Amino acid sequence: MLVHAGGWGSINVWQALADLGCFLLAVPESAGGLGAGAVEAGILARAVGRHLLIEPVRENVVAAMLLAVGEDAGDRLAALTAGNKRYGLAFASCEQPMRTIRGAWEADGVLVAVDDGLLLADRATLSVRPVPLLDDTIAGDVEVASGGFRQIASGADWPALRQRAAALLRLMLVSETLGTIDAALDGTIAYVRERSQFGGPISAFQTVQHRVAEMVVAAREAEAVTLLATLTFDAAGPGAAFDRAIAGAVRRVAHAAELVADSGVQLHGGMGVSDETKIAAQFRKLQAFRPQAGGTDDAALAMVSSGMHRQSAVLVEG
Amino acid sequence: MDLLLHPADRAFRAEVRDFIANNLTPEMRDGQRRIIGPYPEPEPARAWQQVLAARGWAAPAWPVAHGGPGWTAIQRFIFESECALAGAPIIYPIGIRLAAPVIMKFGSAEQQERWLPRILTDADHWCQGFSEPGAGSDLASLTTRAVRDGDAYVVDGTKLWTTHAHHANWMFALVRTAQTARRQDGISFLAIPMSLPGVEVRPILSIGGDHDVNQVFLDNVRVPADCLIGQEGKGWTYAKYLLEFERGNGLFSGRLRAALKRVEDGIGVERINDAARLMIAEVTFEIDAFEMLELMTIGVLEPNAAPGPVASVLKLRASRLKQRVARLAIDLLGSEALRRDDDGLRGVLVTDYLNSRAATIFGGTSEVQLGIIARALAGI
Repeated sequence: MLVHAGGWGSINVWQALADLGCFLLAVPESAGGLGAGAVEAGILARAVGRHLLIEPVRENVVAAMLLAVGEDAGDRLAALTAGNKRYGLAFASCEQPMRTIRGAWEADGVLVAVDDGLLLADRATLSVRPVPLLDDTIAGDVEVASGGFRQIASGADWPALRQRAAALLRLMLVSETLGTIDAALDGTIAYVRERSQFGGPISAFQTVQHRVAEMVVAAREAEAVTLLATLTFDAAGPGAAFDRAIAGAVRRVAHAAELVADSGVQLHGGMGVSDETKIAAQFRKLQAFRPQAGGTDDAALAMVSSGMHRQSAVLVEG
Repeated sequence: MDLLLHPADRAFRAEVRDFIANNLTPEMRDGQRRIIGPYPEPEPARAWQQVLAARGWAAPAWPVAHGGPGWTAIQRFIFESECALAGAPIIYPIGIRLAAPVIMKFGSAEQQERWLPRILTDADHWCQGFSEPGAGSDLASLTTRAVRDGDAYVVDGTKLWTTHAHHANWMFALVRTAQTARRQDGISFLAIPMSLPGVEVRPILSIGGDHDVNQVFLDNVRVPADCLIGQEGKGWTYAKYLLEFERGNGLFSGRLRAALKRVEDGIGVERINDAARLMIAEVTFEIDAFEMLELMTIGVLEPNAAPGPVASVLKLRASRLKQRVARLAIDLLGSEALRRDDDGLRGVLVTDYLNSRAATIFGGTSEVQLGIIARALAGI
């Protein structure tokens, strides 16, 4: 029921998101977008995670941000933001003939943001094999025909834009995971209140209450670190303060994801390990966070080596 | 919420930094550095408090009418953070943060006049008489009795784990003034002068081997009736109000960060390799998260407002983090942590590690907090 049968998603959901202007969020106002920040993108991503959307939303919010500086930006951007075209998106240091790309299955093209520019390969030049992922989304193993990649953006401003885009994509993954944590917590609370054993709801047991309370604490903490990283990005942009905040957010959200996923399934009992309940799909989605979120050790070492960890994380100076 | 410090806040921070640089002495800093329990010894913490009181900064959360500075939440946050990171002594909270809000909200004008100014300068040092031998987590089962006799209450009973009772000249205590069907309804909130005949303080050595807590025996103590705070039988309500301040209004993140720095200083630079840096970073990320959680909580509070049940989340996280920081020292010290003959910073770290176990017990155990969180925040 909840494990997806192999499609990229629903065209109706996609069109509704486009009609809401979701794909215009990160496009600058000068290019006809909404010029919103990480806060707004995070609100969207949190809702995506809460409702377990499998469509490649964050990839395309960021794709629109990148396309806005490319050649023929107007047409491509209009098609994407109207919901008529959809892209797979990857970040890499240089062009490679084959790779696994999120959002590439049944997409209209793939974008690869490399060090010196943005590469686009249209559908006609692609050979894509679907790859089901742990979080129920479908990525694509992509092969691009020789000469299929065209560089459509570059220049002096590119590295900074690429850095911002990569950071926004990572932030949206964190927010999306927070949304799934919220939903798993709410669903588990509802379940322990209605599930009756030994003559009453299992929420009457202290061992259940305390396990739920630990989930609440972890979820609150996850919300705090996500907000901190999001606000740091909007206030200061990429840099040392953001590196610290996003590394901390990845680690603490990973901790909360694990705790909420484990406890959520455990408290659902047998239902939790069947595919009949949302918690099973939420569990898979939460497992997929850590392998997607990227490493944090380099940022952790840099933070401590510089002595920055002795300063407030919150009172950021601009 | 805008994380960037506004120019006014930056100017405020510079003002606080200047003040600290000009007034915080090495002796005060050393007193805080040697802290091995929740609070520093009265000296030199009192000296710092009096310096702050002279500037009008001793009680950041108090309303202006009672001598508070009238700061915004972010100013309070900056002030506490700067004091902590500079190594200034923790202001003894039992009077300023616990007794005072109750006196302000439920005490008479005369009581406010009598006690608040002396709390502000630590001229009166208060202790908290809540726990008893038979009443720990089940606080409402307390049996210390107060019987009205003319112009006094006659108090009989025993209070336990009373921090700083041996330094205090006042205690606020929960006492039973009536036997009621609902136990909570017979409890009253009474201020007791520690100098009265019949008050006896016996030391209890802590798990770390030092003297911080006590057992207080109250034997036929005649407490003037004007020491009753608020109404008879309402003590439980006042205590719950107080506990929200104890648990959630402290702004501990700066203190946790300072404690982590003390660990780094104490273990010695030769032990700081990349493995140690990663362990320090892991704890830092937890402190960062807690700092944001604190800001999100107090950022929406009016001065002197109680934070509500989210206080239990803060108490739980702060107490576990205190233990996490303390344990990091032991993990990084290796076999050196076995030695108890060091009277320098390493010895302090080992003793503090032992005493830090109390953090998840006092002010309501972690289990009590989890119960409150399940009820109030999860609705089960």
